[in-house]
Amino acid sequence: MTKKMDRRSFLKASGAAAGAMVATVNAEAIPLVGDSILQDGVDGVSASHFGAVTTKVRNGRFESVEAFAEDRYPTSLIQGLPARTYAQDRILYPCVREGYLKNGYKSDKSKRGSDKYVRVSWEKAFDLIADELKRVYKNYGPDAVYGGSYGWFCVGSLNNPQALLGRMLGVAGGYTSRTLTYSTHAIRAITPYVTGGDESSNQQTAYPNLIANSECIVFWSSDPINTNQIAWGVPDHQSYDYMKQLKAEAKKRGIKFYCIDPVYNNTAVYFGAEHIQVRPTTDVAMMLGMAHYLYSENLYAKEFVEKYTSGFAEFKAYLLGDGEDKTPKTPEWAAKICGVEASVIKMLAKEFVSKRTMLMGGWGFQRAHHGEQPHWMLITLASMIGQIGLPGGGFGCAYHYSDGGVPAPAAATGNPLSDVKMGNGSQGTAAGADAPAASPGLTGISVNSKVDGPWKQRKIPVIPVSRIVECLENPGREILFDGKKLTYPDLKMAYWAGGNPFHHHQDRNRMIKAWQKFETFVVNECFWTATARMADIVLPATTEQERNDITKSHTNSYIFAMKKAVEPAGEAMDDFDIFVNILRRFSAAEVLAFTEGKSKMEWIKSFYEESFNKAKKSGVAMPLFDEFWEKGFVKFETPEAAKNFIKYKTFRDNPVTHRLGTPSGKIEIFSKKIAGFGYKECKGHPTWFEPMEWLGSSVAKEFPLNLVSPHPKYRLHSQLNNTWLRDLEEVQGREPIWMHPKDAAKRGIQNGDVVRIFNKRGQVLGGAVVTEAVMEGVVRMQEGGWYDPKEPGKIGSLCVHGDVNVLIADIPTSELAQGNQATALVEIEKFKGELPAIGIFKAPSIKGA
Amino acid sequence: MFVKTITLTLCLASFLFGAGGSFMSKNSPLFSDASAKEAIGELIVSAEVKELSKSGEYTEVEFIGYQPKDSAVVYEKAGVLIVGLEVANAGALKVIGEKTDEYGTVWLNVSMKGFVASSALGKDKGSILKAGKELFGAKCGTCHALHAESEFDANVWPSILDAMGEQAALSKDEKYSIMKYLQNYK
Repeated sequence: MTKKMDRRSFLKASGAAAGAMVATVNAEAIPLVGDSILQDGVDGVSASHFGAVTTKVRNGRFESVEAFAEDRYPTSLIQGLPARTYAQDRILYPCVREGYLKNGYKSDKSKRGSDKYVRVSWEKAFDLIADELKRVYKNYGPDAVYGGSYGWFCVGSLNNPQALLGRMLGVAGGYTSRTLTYSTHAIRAITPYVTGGDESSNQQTAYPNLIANSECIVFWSSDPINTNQIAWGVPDHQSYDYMKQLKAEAKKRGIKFYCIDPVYNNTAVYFGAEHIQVRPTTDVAMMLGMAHYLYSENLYAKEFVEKYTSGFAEFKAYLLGDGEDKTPKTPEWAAKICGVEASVIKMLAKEFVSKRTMLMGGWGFQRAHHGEQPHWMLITLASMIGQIGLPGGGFGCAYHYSDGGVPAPAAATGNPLSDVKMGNGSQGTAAGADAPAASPGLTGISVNSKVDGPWKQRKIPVIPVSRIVECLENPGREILFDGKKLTYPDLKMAYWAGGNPFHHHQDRNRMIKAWQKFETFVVNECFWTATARMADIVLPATTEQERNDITKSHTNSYIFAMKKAVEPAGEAMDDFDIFVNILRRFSAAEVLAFTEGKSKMEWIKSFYEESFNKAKKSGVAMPLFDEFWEKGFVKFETPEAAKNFIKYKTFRDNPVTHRLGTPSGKIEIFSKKIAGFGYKECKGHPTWFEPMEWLGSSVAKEFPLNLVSPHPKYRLHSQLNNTWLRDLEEVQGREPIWMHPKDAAKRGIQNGDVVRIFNKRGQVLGGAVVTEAVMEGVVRMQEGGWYDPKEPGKIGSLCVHGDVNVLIADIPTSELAQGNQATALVEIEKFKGELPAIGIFKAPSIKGA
Repeated sequence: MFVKTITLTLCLASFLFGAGGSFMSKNSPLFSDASAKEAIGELIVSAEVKELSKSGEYTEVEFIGYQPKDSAVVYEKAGVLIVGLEVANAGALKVIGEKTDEYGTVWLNVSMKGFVASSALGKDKGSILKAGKELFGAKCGTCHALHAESEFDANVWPSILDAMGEQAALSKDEKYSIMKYLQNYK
């Protein structure tokens, strides 16, 4: 007779023990009625790069989310959080590549990507990693371990994989790290020479000030409506409130919007902007044409240029054709290059000087060959327009990023008395006297331990982040970088946690080959991404909702609790614990240095306490930790003063007492420093350089379409591609590629066709979307579609899904930034034959599963 | 003769003492006199001062630096935004010279004397800057990867810290401590 199940024995059978035997994320026995429906888990609070959320738990599962009630414009991306937690490509247990398990660091690296995986125990995985670190440290030294681990990982002050990895490696023996980012490689390198600061991160003129004063707003290579969905911290989407207000005001006052871009983007659509179709990577020529017109018509702001800039005379010689190249940069000269008619170039120049104009420079055009030039030239143009420091005028290069331009709470720094402004010194802004509208911010775990030990003396060398492949190909080579010389280390091992280099790095085929130099490649990941599939050792990490943490909104308006909603899937472990376990294989001293004797919850409480104490000293009220943890968030107010912040107003008011951090103290249109470097690809003033491949080059004969790769709409780079959100956009299961009707017709391609996109670097499939939103000669494919090689591990294989970085060159911007590119020339044809199946979004073959 | 030698040694010692080489171990108010009632400015961490005399718990010091015209901020060197002193009244600085740089900017070589708490003075600039290094690691590598010290030069770090200081809610003391470490990094 069959034993009848009762509730107790059912729960016992479907508990952890049973789960371990059927270790797939979907097939763990789910309680039926009784412990699921009508006995839902308690709603919790969590957060992500897409927004803060209420987590809904049923059946022991994180089944859905609701947007945080105060999110000003919740995005669909938060739906990806539950979706990806149980995606079929969730990594459930530690795995080692078969060849690596057999032969260790002597394995055949060419088998990466095609080798099967073998499930191993956590203990085995930790042993392998610790032994390998020790071997590499002993034989090659700490510089041989690459711990740059670039990527966007997750939010959370404690479980920050990048910081934790650096902390672990720093304590274990050292590592090589990286500098700059794939987002801002060029702008962050060049703008310090021009304005003495980093224009990718300094404050923008506040939206309320734009709304009240701007007459003309230009989205130049910028798509804030799209990219403000996500943020480096947690987005509260206040920028969307302001963009709505701006649109309403535009109707009333007749504010004019321009979108200068090869593509009519989301922002252009929303504001009804006039589209100026500029050929990719030719914006500098267009701006030079405008500058020439302003100068020759005597429309430029002569007094501003004299008083606030340095080096106009040298630039002028170049502009007028009195320089080396003897070429006047007239609107007609510019038109031939950029594809914008001379009459339009002149019209725009006239428009921008006669109206109060805000030039919103995005980061797309600096992700290109000679990417240092566009922002330098944009700032030069803005100087000639002369409205920098005026209400609603000038330029801003971060409106599209993480709620830039949104007035934010002042900094509650904990000592209001010393924070009163004196002179132009840099100090924290005091909160408003009556009702402190300030936030103490929120700290997180540091890459450096407070505990004393040999790690304190270690120097961590860096390489420019986008030069990783070049470094692998050329150990010991000396390169020029930002006015200095740098020697590439001889890397033997890499550890990545919370990043996806086999998405964000360019020239995929070249990369696969170069990566073979790593004797060992370890990856902490939640999902079988293209990167995980190239790893020797893969460790399953928990997701944000499977652990406790604490975080804040990017604007500092909120601190959020991140409460563990569900148990980790499979054997997933927090990165924090993974690293502690590796250090256990070293000694107790290393473990103590890493943990500082604190449990995870103690760390979380300590971050909150630091903020609490700072806030208290500044007169800002915050609840005690337990009350905060219960409620899920604390809110901070924004002072009125923040709403009228004008970028560079103090500089404009007095450029002597508020001089910029440049040698001249002014905006450097000519930089003696850069000129002194003697670089071939970056001169002393903004210069038009012909890109290595562009529509006007000879390469265009064979590859006549210019590919641009903007940030996606339904992803954060590559994050969330493994969820149903991709179905909102994919075409026959491939990443969409936008083509102009004329280009499509020429090739017999129709809307919805699968197409092969190729050049000398590689080939990918995509799904054609035929639209006039993209200009003729240009094709647009979002970055982040997961690499899916038809023959995994084979260099040159067709990517059947649409990883655009297969096609982009890995050639640096110039000797200055050594940055990355994001455009390429390609050809496209309709795909013939049987459509290959999508191979990713599920686990690879695993032995012992 | 023995007495003369001692006197000479003592004079030599006080001359060396007065030749400078003292550094601010933290931001400290500069008072007009040893009663410490009226602050005439604030000396900034790691700035070099010359000790002149002692009065109870206060030391009279002199700071010499470079001031752009009318600026309430005095820099340690001409041409680089390394802040040494913030003053309440720009006119109270004593002008001892002038220097014009290659860009035509006039820097006034200025001096200010006043009293600071003796406890705010130190002799080892290296260990003062080390505190800034600790803070840099603790505050600046938690939200994003810790930048290399050499990523920006001394002139640029102030504007970076202004922007990031808002994000991280750095107090004035914290910001200057970090800034001075980065600006003095070689």
